Amino acid sequence: MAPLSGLQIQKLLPKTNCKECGSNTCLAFAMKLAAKKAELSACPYVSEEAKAELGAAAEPPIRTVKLGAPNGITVGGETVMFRHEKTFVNAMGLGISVDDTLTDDEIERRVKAIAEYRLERVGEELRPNVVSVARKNGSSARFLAVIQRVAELWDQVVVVRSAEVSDLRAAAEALRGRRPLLASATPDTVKELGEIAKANEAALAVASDEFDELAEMVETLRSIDFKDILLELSADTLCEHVQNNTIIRRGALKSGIKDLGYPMLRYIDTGNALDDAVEAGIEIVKYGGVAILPTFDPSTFVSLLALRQNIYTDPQKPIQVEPCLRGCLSRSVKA
Amino acid sequence: MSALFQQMVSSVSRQIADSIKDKLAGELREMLKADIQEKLRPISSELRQDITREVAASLLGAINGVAPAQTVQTKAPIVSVPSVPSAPEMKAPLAPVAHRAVEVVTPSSPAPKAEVPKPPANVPALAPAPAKEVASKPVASVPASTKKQIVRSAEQKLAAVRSFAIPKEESSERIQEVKLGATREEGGTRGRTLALGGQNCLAFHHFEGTIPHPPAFALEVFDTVSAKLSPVLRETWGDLLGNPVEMAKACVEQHGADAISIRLEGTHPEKGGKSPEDALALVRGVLNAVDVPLIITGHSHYDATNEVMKAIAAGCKGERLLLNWVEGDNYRTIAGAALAYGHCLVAQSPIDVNLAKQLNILLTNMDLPRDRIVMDPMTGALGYGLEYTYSVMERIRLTGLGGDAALTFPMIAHVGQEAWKAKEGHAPESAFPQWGDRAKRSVLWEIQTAMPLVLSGADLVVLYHPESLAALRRNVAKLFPRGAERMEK
Ligand code: SF4
Repeated sequence: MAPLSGLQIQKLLPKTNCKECGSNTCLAFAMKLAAKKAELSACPYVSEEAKAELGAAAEPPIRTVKLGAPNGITVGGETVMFRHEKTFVNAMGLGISVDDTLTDDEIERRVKAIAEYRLERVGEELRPNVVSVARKNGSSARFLAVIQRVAELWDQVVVVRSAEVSDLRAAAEALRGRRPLLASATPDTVKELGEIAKANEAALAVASDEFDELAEMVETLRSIDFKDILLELSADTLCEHVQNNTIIRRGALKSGIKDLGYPMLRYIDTGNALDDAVEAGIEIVKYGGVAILPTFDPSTFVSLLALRQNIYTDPQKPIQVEPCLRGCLSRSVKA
Repeated sequence: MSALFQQMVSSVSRQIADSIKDKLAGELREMLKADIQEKLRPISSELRQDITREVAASLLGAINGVAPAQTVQTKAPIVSVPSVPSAPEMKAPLAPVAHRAVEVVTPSSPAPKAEVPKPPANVPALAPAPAKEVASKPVASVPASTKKQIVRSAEQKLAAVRSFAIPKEESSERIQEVKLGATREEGGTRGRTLALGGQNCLAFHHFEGTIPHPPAFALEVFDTVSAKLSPVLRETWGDLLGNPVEMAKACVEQHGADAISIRLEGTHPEKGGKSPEDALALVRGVLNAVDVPLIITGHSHYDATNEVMKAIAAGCKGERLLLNWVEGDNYRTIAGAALAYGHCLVAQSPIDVNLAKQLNILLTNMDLPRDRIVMDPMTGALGYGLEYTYSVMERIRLTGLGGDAALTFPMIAHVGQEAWKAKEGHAPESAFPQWGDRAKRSVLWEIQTAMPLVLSGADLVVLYHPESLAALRRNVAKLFPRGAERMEK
């Protein structure tokens, strides 16, 4: 549903101008609601029908999903297609993947490297946010042990990735309180995983290579009132993938397609580290929600974190750069 | 220098913010009748700014029962050029872009224009796609040895989506096609020409437009090697750096550059003071050595650069060189030379949509044909102003596609020049362990500057490192439904 205008909202209010909401008139209050600068609950007299109607319309076009607790990130919640319109607000989550085929030492080495990584740019501390743990080969018990080890070493977002519902259930229970992301539901498992995620306060990704299937899964989850969803739409080519990202963002924002109004999850693994970095960069620029690379390398992450910082900067903020000894943009200005 | 740039950008952003405030306030005053104003008075001034034109217009419409006035003239247009609305107003020029909802195609109806992807030549051709459903698995007849077979194209998949209409925005405008280089038949000596532009959609939006030419990548050679050049580049190019003709050859033959930029920094009076004749001789040498189009890159000393450009333009008549660059304060001489001797030029403006538009108009007013202009809204490197270039390119492209023909020109990004000035292109890993291996990191710095700019609209990117070119080329090809054709040449 497209967001309602102030005038449309006003029609649903009591129109008594009693001022109890803190605004002078119902119209003024309606304007604030339309601008998302007020909460409907501030008006004590609004009818139940109006609440229902406004409630649906008041949902932001793209859901804001919190991942990781107590330390974590917020993804989604964007309101524009282009950063010159308004700041992109919730920076894409960036991280790496480990799996149960690695030795304990290797897992520890990789997770520690990303956990200790800090980058300082223009007064901001930048860091990766996500470690995904995939089950590939081992037993369920081994998978759970790896997850628990990662959760000890890593204070941010943990993604657990397995095709088995039982794995995700055990992981969600083990990580209760950490707001993990369960990846990923399929049409067969979506209902059950939705219940598990809901009960354990986890987020859930839905995966498909079809828009329709994805939309159906989202509907299923909404029907059980579960909304902390990430969309993992796989594509055959990078070309198709990048188009899909635009279609999802635009569909949610411009066409008000509710089923598309969620942040996106992307696993990148081209087999070439440089190409992985390029694809992650594209994901930052063009609407990614969470992107996960196969490995950690500081030279890749310094460029990606800098790019993410650039793209998510307030477009009206005066430029802030690291002092550059060599006269960056030297051609730009003549005194 | 970066301090100057900071000042400039901050003053520009302040101006933008002020002009938005003025404009919205002005619009409200004009559009709202007295009684509406009465009602709006209690709304805080902060909120007033948030009320969009749409809401105001619908209010007015609802009260009057008449259609509201559509646009409000911006005040004080710069040098009598109608100015482009500032950032948050961008939707206005886009209005003519039809927000066409595509009919929902059911899986049983044939997808329009859909093609089954062509298998490689040595593979038996696929049977023509039978009635849809079944077409989803025609792989059986293809030998298992072929690479991952794409069963359905993105186009076919989108056509089959049932749960919502794919939101498409089609543009009535196309970006001007500009061809660099001229073959013998066309009056030059190039074996290959390079076409830029021609698209009617944003970068890689194949689902709602056509993109006849993939973004192109040039490499740069130098008449004088700066003492400040990154050690990574010195190591990569070695002795070639001092031999621009041989280096140009390597750029084309080994690294597949679509064009060569010759940087003539040495003609700057304080950086060697080479003569226009020296510069012309070098350009002739490179013309003889390679068959791709050339970009002639000058410097900021107007008098010297003008003399050099004139000499080269006359000496290489008909080659359709890309003379890089003219700017608002210095365009007549070089534009005159481009016009007289059949060359293209780069119109550079400092990260500003209106100034870019104004310069384009000045140039076309000199009767420079539209198909000779490439815009340069100036490049900031990753971490050093990239986001400003990114957004100005995006705004220029959106405004152009939205119907402003004074902005429908291809764009060039001087990525190598900026990315390799960044500290990240120089500092050793020992100084910044968090930055990782210097060689890898500096190449990534160039790539991660270039790719965002390609996504925001750059049609031609000038790079310094061959690995960046290879990686960008490979990935740009992946961003085309059937690979980028230029690659296969
Ligand atoms: S509290 Fe409700 S009824 Fe009273 S002015 Fe506000 S919106 Fe109107």
